[in-house]
Amino acid sequence: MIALRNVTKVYRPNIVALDNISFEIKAGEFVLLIGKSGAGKTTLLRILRREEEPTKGEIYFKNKNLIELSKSRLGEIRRKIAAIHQDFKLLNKKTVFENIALPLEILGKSTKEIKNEVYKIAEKLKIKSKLDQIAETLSGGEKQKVCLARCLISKPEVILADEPTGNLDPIASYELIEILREINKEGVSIILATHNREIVETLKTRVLTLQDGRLLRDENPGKYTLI
Amino acid sequence: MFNKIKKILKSGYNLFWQEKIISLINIGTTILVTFFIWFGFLSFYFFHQMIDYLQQRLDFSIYFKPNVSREEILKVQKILQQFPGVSRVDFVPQEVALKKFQEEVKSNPVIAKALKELQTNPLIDYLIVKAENSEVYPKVADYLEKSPYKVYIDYITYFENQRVIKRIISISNQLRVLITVLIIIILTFSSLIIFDTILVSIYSQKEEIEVLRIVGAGNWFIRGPFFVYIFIFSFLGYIISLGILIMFLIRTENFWPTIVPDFRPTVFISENFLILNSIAFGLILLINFVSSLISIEKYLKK
Repeated sequence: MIALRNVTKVYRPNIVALDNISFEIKAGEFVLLIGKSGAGKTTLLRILRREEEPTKGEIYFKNKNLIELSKSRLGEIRRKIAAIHQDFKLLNKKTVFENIALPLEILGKSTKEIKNEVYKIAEKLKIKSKLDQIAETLSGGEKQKVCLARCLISKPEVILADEPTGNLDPIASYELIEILREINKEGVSIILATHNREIVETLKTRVLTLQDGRLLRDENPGKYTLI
Repeated sequence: MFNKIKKILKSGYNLFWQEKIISLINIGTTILVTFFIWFGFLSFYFFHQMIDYLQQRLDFSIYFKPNVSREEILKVQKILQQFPGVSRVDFVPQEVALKKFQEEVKSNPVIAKALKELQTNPLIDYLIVKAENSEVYPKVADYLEKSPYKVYIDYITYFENQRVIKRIISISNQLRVLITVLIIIILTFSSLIIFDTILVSIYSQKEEIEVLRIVGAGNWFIRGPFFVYIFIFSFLGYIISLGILIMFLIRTENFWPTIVPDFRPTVFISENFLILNSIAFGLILLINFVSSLISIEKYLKK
């Protein structure tokens, strides 16, 4: 589903963030991306959504080279390869409902359709009672659930999670990982960047280790999913 | 598509109310820029009217030697009537000229008495030439200088006051150029102010832009609300400044003709309302849209 071929990213003046990275991720896989801060995890995830251009190399999503994709089609790709972040990236002054509804509003869906979908997702993630609340008043765990709901509403094929538990307490972290496992079971590929050893040990899934921009290890490459 | 447009319109409208202070600053800047644009229009109109007025005052009279017959004068009149750019040529016979002169000096007993004592009419026949613009007069004068009728002509009054009038017209033209340059400079600075305030508006929304990009919004979905927002504050700013300007001009309506008799800004605006407003508002929108496009582009590059 996703394939990286010799991807290199160099920032000016001469900082190598990613150095000749190649790997493949199959549909439905749950992959952990680990490494110290500055190892290149975030850069790699940003490149996967073409939020950044690689200096060299190719990125394929369902056999389409993302580098050759026109800017007008990026939105579509970013809905298919959704993302959640450590700092949530929510519209803090807007309600939970408005935040979750955003991808559908971009698609120009009708109010009725949006309402139905938002309620469905909110119920699934157990945040239905929070829908009218302003996002900034939520706890970290709730905010991350809203982010996840916002991702899921556009029915993504891949979710890139960049340190999603970074700002959460252990209980909220555990809850989030459980939700991600559930989503993965439904067939959504997940790439989770983390430096939380507990998560790595709990999940026992494929692990890509980055060090100084290089792919150091690819453990359990055959272990595609958690199913 | 309709839902998308509705969403963009709503977001633009919300943006206006969400950032009240920035919106007020943007309206204020638009008011200022609108005033500058109208100042430009009105000063051009002012100089146009002033030059027109001066040209109307331009006295181009051809006086003939006493021995020239009336037939010869009428012949010159006919020729000049055909001259390109000449709108009218009036023949003033010496009797009419005397009557006019008597009227003029009625209040001066010395000249009136002297005129009475003279048994003959001391004045001569002459022609008054009216042209479409002042540039025609030197051509007429030049033509007469080179024509066989030169021998009939005693003198042409144009040559007496042409230097003064030419100087005034030249000063007006120089002022026109100066005002154009001034307006360009002012508009450039105003554009920079607008650019800055729009930059602040967009900067205040940079998190929202980032979120929109994360969830896969296209560039036009992000730009759209800003364009709606710009249209709202530009329109409000323009209407307010136009209202103030028109009120000011109506209140001072009687003052302006005392400077230049034909300078009536309210008449000028009402006669050219559509075209002037289209240009002024179009210019405001252009400055604001270009500023926003440049400011927003850096957030859309990623």
